[in-house]
Amino acid sequence: MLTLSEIKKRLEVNLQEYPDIYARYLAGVPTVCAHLNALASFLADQAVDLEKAQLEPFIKSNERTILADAVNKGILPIATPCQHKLRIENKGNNPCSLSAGRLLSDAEGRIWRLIQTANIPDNTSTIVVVEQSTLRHLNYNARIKETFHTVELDLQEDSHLAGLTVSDDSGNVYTYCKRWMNVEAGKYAYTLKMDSRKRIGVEFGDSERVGQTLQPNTLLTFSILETDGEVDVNHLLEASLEEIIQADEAKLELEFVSNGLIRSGANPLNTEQLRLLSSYPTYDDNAVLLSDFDHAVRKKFMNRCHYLTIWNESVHSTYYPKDITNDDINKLKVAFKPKAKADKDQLTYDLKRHIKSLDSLYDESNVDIIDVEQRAFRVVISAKLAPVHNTDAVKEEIRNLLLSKYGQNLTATSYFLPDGFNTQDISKLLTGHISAFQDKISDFKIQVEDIAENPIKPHQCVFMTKDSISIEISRTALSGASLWTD
Amino acid sequence: MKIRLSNQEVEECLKHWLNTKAHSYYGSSYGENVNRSQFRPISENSADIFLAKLKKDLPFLNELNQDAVQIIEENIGYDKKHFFLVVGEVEILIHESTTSSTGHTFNANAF
Repeated sequence: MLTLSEIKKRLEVNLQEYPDIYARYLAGVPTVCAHLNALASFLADQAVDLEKAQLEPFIKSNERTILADAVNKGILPIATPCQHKLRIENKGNNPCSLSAGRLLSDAEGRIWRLIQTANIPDNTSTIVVVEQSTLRHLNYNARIKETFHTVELDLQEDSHLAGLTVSDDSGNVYTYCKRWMNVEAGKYAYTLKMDSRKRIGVEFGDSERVGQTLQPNTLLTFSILETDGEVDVNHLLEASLEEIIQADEAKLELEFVSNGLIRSGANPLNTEQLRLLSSYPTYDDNAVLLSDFDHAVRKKFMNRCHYLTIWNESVHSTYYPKDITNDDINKLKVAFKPKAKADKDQLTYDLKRHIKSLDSLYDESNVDIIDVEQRAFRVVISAKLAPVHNTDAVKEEIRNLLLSKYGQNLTATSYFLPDGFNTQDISKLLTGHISAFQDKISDFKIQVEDIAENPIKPHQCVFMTKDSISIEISRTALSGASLWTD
Repeated sequence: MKIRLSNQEVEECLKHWLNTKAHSYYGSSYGENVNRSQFRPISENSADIFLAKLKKDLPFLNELNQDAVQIIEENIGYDKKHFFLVVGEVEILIHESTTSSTGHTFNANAF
């Protein structure tokens, strides 16, 4: 894209043919400058438009297109709060009770919330569930009557939205709807919108069409549940109460139960993950086709899994022809590898519940969970390098680059790849990032393992490892060619 | 590269500036809305704002002395004033802008 300063530089070069005018241009004489600069500004703005109009026929690559796609598909920057078991030991001689909602902080300063009331008799201990989230109430006074009134949610810095309840002073509770389609007129409802700067807005409806128009001077209360997102459970040890209300509470010892993870926390989706989601041809959450299920499930759980794939009986019969039975009819199979092992049961439950909400045909008994098998993917890169490059350094560079993109537990390896990794993408990655391949005579060839003989199955998580990448480097001819670059 | 602008050229520049409404060139705020000094209190002093904008738009004027660029006023009767923009030996009467695109003389069907 041509920027304004590039255009002006070029203009100055051209003006040097006319020294009198050039001198006046430099001095800023308006009779010379004004229209030239206006033209330059116009061309620069045109260049922006041209770049925007450049087609991305298949792969969305610009960050803003990806974000726009996420906004259109209603993917919100929402996090999942971590839930963990906490042991409370009462070392005092009086029974003590902590009510649900009491705040604790862990060793790293994150705020946790008791979601159960704990009654602890003296000299005993009890286990309760805590959640890494804070609840905040925000009041908002709608001063004007406006259809589709939008209120921007003011979230705390570095924390993500995890839940929201909206109510007004007349006692109406607004329910969340994903979009306005099929919402009755007059129903107390709201929907959430994200803008390109990832700010979340709460939108209310229009009594004439969908939802309810906010009346002037309605006092709204937003109860916002915020969380820090992902929590490394291996570093959870002791906790302490945020404030001590009764003297007896000072005798309580709080400790996270080891392996007591109930639900692992997850951050909102990052651009890399949104890029993957943007390649699905799905635009809403109505799951009809298999890819819709895959999209809807991935959207919700991809941040809690290293690998996640969902398939139906037709895919099952293609890949597991020997195993298929009558029981597989009308069933969905899910293979996933949770980020935290302890999260598996909760994730299974959450997944099944989510699939049921997408299509009630697939209730808990019609969704099978299948174990994930790790499968290293063999790649052979045969390269010819010009004599100036250091072979070992380039080998290491290639290996690190491939592992950073196609290594274990990365977004590029988090979904079912029936055809293995795309060699075109690999070669683009190599030419783009390895400078040794950017001269005129260096060359490389990529061979991937033959999957015709041993097809990749949906439950196989495919990735590259240090050993599965082999690199052969030979030297280009030292004599005979006089070309270095064009 | 130093150049010397003739009086005639400086006059052309100033007239160009006075006759260009601000923001009429694409991508720049060049120009001045001369008409805004109408219907203002006759005792109001807005010359500094005017000169600051002038020096911003015509950067070569910054190389002159502080006194070389000034505005002179002349009282005509008790309810009328003339302003003159003076740069060195050049003196221009600031008058109502005639390049306005509003009013009955504007031809909406012009090509």
